[in-house]
Amino acid sequence: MSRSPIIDDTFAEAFPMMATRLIITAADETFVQTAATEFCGNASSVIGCNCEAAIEHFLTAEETIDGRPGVSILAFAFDQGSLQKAVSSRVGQNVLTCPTTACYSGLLPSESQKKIKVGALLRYFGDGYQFSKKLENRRFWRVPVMDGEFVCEDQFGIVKGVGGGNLILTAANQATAIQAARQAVTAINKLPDVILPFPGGIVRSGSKVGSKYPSLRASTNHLWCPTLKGECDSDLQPEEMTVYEIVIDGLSEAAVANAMKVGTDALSQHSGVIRITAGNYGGKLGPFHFHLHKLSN
Amino acid sequence: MEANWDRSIFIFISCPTEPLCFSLQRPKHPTSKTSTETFVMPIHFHLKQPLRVPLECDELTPNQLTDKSLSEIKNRPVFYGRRQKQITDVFEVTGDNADELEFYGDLTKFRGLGRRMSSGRITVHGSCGMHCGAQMTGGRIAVDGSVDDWLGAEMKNGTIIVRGNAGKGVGAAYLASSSGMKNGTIIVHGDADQEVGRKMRRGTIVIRGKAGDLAGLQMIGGTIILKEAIGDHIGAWMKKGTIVCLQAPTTNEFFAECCEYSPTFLSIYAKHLQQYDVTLPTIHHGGQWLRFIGDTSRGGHGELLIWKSASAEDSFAGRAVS
Repeated sequence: MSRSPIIDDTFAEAFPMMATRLIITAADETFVQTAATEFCGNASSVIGCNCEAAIEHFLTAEETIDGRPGVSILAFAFDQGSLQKAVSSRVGQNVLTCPTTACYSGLLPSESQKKIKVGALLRYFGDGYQFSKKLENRRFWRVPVMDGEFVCEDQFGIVKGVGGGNLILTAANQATAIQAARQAVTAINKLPDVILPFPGGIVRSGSKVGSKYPSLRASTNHLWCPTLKGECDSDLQPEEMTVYEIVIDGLSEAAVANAMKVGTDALSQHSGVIRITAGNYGGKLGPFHFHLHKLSN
Repeated sequence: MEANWDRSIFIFISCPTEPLCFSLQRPKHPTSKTSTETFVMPIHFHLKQPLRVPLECDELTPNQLTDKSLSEIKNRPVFYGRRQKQITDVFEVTGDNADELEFYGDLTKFRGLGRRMSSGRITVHGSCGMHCGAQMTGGRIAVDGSVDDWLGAEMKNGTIIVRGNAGKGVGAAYLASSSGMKNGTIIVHGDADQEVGRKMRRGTIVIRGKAGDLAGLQMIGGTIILKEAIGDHIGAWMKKGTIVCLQAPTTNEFFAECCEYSPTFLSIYAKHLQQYDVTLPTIHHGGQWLRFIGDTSRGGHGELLIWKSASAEDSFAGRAVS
């Protein structure tokens, strides 16, 4: 007999992060996908990566500034400097190198007051042969490369986003938990202004702050590991055998809250989910608190 | 209480992004209002009689008139030949929204219309004289007819759209000046005379008709798009910038041929210019662009992009049928 999952009376604790949106276009969808995948590689968590990034959605030729197929990517980092370093490095190594691509800011000047330099840094690859083109208030760099030119916008707008919104689900077995998590990921991926930076949008290795090893900043969240139920004061119920987490980053608090609501609704509709909860640090670290019982508001 | 309407006025807006016409019902008493709405009308300047000598008035711009009442506007000075007169001596003035100015009549002797304007809109239902939009820093000018020389000379920003022809020096630098237009967009649906974009530094000029000799002379930057036949000595002494030609011009030995390719940045321009009813070929239409670099006699790195169509029939050259 199916039953609704338990939704814990708790909250997800999230943090302010600097965020930007990039638009990558290319001659066809294959190169768009390739460039996006390469850009977003090794970008799951700022704990160990230089930024968190993922595909927001794909764009048709009609939706892009140059009339070619494209993709919208969101990237997050702790601060403006880190974001600039991460984005310019990733564009330089993974987008500029990919055939036929171009890269533009996805945030209009009216949407963001601060900017990071991307094309302004990558232009030097042109070794003096680069061209600048200014159209109204937007500047683009044209860097000569072997298949023609790489076009990159001079500066990209950034905003104060929110990182670390999360949902944790439990289930009786791995297959059920994966199915439920994918259902939530599919629903959240349809929303604008949010990304799920972890592989497939799902985290299997939820972490806690600190470790018995002094050099480690984070370690496995042992209280949620089903194989350790007998060894520690586990937070898991006897029937809960698998746990997955969905981490959400968004361009605004409202976007993350909406994504959490949509994710919760999707999980609630799956009969195999036993419990839905969220991770926090007692409310002492992050200023954004998303209470699971208040998401519908 | 209903307003007592006299007649409907159909105003044709020459800017392609606006609806082609809309009806304004003007009440007999301009201050009449319904109980629920405030009626605001652009300021109309109807020429009382044909101009016999040049007329100049730098104050006839939206940013200069925006905080003035109608009676103050009517009393502003204009220079009609050597004589100083008031606006009301030359124009019949009505309306109350100084952000939008509309001129009616043959203004070919009106020099400097929209000079240094920074905001708002000016529409000219007729032709206009020299220096139209010169040194403007913002706003939008639309001219139904033709304009004389120095259209948008040294402009810093804004948009100018001319349905007819333009004279010499579109977007150019004045004599002894170091640079021409620095930003903004100029669209001329007709022909343009010599020296289009002379010493321009930035911005975009589109000439949908024929362009005269010396287009892009001493260009420093920016983009000129020429859709029809082009005169001689295109890009002479250009340092940087881009001249896009949909019909092959006569080039000389000072422009070195580089390659055939499809520049991505032109796709950006193609999409941007659609709002002005200007079409450019993109990769979807077949064909490629021939790229030339010059003027090598001056060590220039300007580029000439010449459209090479894949098919015999090319629908991109030529002006639009209005």
